[in-house]
Amino acid sequence: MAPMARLALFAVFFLWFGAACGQDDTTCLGGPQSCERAPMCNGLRFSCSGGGLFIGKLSQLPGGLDLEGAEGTGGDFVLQNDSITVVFDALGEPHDLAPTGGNIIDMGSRGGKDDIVLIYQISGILPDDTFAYKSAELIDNSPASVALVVRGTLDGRPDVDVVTRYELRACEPGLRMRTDLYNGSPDSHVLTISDVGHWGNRNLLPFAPLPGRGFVHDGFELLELQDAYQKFDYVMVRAAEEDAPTYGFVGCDREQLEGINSTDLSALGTGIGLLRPGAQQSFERFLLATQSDDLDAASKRVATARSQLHGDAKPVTVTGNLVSQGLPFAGSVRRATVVISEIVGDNLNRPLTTIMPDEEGHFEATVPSNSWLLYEVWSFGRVVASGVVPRTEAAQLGSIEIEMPARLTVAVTGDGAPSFASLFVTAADEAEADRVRGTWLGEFRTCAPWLGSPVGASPACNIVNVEPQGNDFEIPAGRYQLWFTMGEEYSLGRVDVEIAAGEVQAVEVDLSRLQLAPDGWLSSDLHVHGGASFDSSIPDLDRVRSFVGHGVDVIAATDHDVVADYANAVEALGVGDQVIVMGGLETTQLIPHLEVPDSDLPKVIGHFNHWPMQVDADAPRGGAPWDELIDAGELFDLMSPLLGDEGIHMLNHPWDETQFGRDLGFLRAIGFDPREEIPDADDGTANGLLMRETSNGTRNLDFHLIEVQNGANAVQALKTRPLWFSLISQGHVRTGVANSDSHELFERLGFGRTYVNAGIGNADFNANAFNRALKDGDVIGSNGVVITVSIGPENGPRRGLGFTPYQPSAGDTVQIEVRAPPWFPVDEVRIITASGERVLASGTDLSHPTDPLGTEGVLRFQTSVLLTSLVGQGVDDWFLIEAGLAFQPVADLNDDGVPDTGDNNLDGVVDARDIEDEDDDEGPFKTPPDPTNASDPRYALTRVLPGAWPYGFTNPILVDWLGDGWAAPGLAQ
Amino acid sequence: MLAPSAVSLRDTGLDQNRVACAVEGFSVGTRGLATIDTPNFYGTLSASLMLDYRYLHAAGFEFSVGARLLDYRFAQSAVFTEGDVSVGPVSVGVLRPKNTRWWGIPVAVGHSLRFEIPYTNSSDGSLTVAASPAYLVTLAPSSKFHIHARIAALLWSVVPEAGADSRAALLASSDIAYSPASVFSVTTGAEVHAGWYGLGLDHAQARAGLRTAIGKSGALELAAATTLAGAERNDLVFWLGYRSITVEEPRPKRSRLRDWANQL
Repeated sequence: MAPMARLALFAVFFLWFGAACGQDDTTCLGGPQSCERAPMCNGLRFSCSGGGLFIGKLSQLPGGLDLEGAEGTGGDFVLQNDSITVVFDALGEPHDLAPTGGNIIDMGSRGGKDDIVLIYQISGILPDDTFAYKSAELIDNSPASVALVVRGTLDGRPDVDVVTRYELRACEPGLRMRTDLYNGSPDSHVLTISDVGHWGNRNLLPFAPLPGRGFVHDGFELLELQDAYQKFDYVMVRAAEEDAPTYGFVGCDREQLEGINSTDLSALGTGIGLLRPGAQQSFERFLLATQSDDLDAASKRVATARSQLHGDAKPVTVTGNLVSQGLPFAGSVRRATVVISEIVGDNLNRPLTTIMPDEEGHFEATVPSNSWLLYEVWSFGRVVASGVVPRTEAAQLGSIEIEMPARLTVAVTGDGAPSFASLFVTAADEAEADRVRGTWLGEFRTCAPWLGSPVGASPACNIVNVEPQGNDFEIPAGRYQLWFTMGEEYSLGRVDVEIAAGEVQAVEVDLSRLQLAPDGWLSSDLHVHGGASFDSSIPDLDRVRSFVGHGVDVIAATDHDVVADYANAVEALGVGDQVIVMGGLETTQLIPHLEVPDSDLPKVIGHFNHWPMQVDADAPRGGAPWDELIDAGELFDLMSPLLGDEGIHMLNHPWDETQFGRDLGFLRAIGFDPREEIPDADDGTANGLLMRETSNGTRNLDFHLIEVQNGANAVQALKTRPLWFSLISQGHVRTGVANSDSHELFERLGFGRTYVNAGIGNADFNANAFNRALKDGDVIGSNGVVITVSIGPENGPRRGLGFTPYQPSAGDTVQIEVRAPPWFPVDEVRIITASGERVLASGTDLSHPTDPLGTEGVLRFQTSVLLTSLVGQGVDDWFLIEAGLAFQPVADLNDDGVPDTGDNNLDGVVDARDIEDEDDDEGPFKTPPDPTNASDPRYALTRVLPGAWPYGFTNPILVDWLGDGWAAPGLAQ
Repeated sequence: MLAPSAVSLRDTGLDQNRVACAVEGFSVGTRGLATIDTPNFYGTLSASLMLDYRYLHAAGFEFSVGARLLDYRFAQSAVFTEGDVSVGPVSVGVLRPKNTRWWGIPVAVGHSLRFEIPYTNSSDGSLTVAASPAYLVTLAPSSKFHIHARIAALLWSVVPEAGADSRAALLASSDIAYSPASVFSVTTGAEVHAGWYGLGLDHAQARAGLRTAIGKSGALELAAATTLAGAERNDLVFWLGYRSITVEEPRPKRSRLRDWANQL
């Protein structure tokens, strides 16, 4: 090689050396001292007098936790100053999606509310990518600051170290946060550092200042997450309520946060980057909390923080007054909220904040904007006034006139006695519906009329909880149908009204009790949610009003991963003699772990209900154990000691769809095939998974109940029936039940419901006796249709339902009686046996009441038939009776043994042309559309229960011909 | 033409194979690497441009300096994909060869050390040190057929804020090279590698290559390697390189260092 070439080569190497030298910042990875030096949002400069810093365990907090709705318990960590309180779960007591503690579970202004479910850190979407903190360090630098430093690794990558420092300084309305991550693995990883806020779908909503966004977010597929990533100057989060916390996320070491927002969750952090072995990454941000009626208070602080951190221009103010009929018009979530947006293009606006006018109708908003602004006044879910203002430092909107709402006063009596009830308001016709249709600032479900947030307190959507003393509420002027119900055991009431702006009208109705269920049977809803669940925000009082307003005798409170019993609300309303509430729990696995055949992705075991349980207010999750990363049998072993001898494990919605990649139904998760036999032991097949045992011998199959009906429509029932029938035919007899799974008032409580013949009433209620009857199958499932069955000699002693096998005698008959309230159409009675199903009666075989609002015609069908006409003679069998409207056609197009597709193109045939997603091999399976013709038999029903499909079923009677023990007949060939 | 395949698996080429003889010349090559771990939703593709210069000193040592001039890496997890470009590291090396005969067969035995210079890798945020001492043997039963063997240690340590983080592995490999014609040769070999991920086999690798002469002193090599067993994720490595050798052993009598100084 020539000398000059050699020189050049060495020169290149030396230049290389200089160019490639790394620049190392001080991070929290180096231990306490380096973490003290590490940057922590150094640009922030909030100031005040005082400070009032506290750091320690919650049990040491003077005066206790001052956040309404908080779930922290004694062992959790607390950081507090004069402005806010933040609670982090103890490392060994994780919550929700996180594998360990060390995450934010409560946060809010001192003395205010907490709406946080969980804010935790991730580096990706796989369970392996979640931060798992192993140690915690409390740092008391008061009076300047206090800090919690948690250290650990990624949950599935022990060679990737993570550290998060939460620091609270005196005077600051938020938490400084810094996270460092070091890739000590031999692999390059694609990672982010993101805070995930789990909002729960019906609770908090993220607000993103992006064109066309605000509170409105597009859905996205989990596996296409990166495509959904966006950049945000800031993100605020709050519930659709007044006097509620708002949380604000601001990046400190970057001008924009990157991530996604949805009603379920937000992930906000660094961008997605490739981190090579030996490389590290950090993320600094500020998370603030305020308490107010709108976003504006948080918006002001976000603007201040961004100004200090990133030099944003001084925000501008927008002031105005709402008036109606010459009077000041006060704001509220329902009455009026003003949304201020920046105009960024033709018909393209960037929402910046919301503000609620005060009692005088006045509002003053602060917005960070350099452009023309658009204001929109939302009233009862609709934009009722809007306008454009040029960019100025202080925009004056003057007086904005909006329409005065009307006011309705309603009261209901049941057989003459003032009662709790439910009112469903529908528009008189489609044109009227179009006029009054609304949403909460564009998010949540659409309602016509929109009387309040669908996920919140009554009035919610178009529903009003009516109290015995009556209610009054505001409603946009218009023509309406008012539908009153006290549940399926009462007649339906209807009043049509036309009401003008500012007018007040009073409506009273009386409903009559119907003889639907046999005397002595208790009606129950064994699957309900309230504000304790991460995906519900119904206030407890409204939840309990809905229990009694729908006439349910027994409730199993089954909030997600927290034990609740609504005892305070029951006592406050004085309804303990009307409804029994058993404390319980819906275990809700969120961390995928379960390996199942033919699936590349890990699964969770879905949802199971358990009761009765006692609330332990001093324990994390109200006493619910951490239920992640275990099999179903292990879950039953974990729960059984908490339930007592007659405790119940119920398999919920066994074939429900996944939600955010999390399986909701166990049988779907494992790929159970109802057409295949269940082996005697776990043989590695999907069906064999049911037989997998714990060390105690508990099998995944050892649940007591299976939820056949979930909600008022037929979708879950149609999917679950073949699963249930397969289990029965193979000798795994489980009680089928019907529940509402209500998370909001729109999901009507008590539709469906389960009638239990326990030989007890509300006055002498005994949970053990009730549960024994449930396990014994002396149970009817109902969504408006109640079927009673007895078997025995025609004129001799007869018996009803129950799993004790029945040995027939010659000439035994089966008596069947079908009852339904007049507002539930019924046109078919079916019998199901191991051999299949057939129609026993249809059409004119049944009676059809002519007046859905009347009380006549409850008894729809009555017959007595020879047992031998129902089941084959000599071979053990089982049978159960169903009734309701004949099901719409469905098909199993993906050949997994479970119906998956309906007649979506309405051509009368279910085939591949009904598949709506060309990339899929099934579905969807939708509820049939509700009729708009008042003469349709489902018209009245679907005013009260949109999508409802009348359906009822008994539990099976096991026929043991020889009295030598019932032998399961096996699957039909 | 009869050197072992230069294909390497480790990130920076720390494990790159070589002949036991000392040579002088340079090489440039590109390496492509694919890692596909479907069960864990992980995959990477990388392409690296490597440069290496070897200098034969009169004292009997071969000194070398090399660099990964450019590295592009693409990685994919369950839902994220991202690419990244880096430069470096720079490495230096030394080889002390010894020529002898075993059972009458000419043999070169070499002790080598390769050392990656800290702070020369743009993707490192921390002090990173890597070294590989090796014992090399090349047997030359004929002028057309050589056998190569290697035992090496791979040492890697990074000192992040969290403290030192180290990895080490032992590697043994054997390759054969056959040249049926003066302008063409084929190579094949196998390697076992253990300890990088803890106790146990990291990989058992098979590799093969083709080499053709270009001009008087150059050779173009195309080689590939794949992992057959072990805990290592499934890897496939390609190497396309050009090496020009200007001086081969036996080393000249005069000091080349002195000659070089005179020329300057």
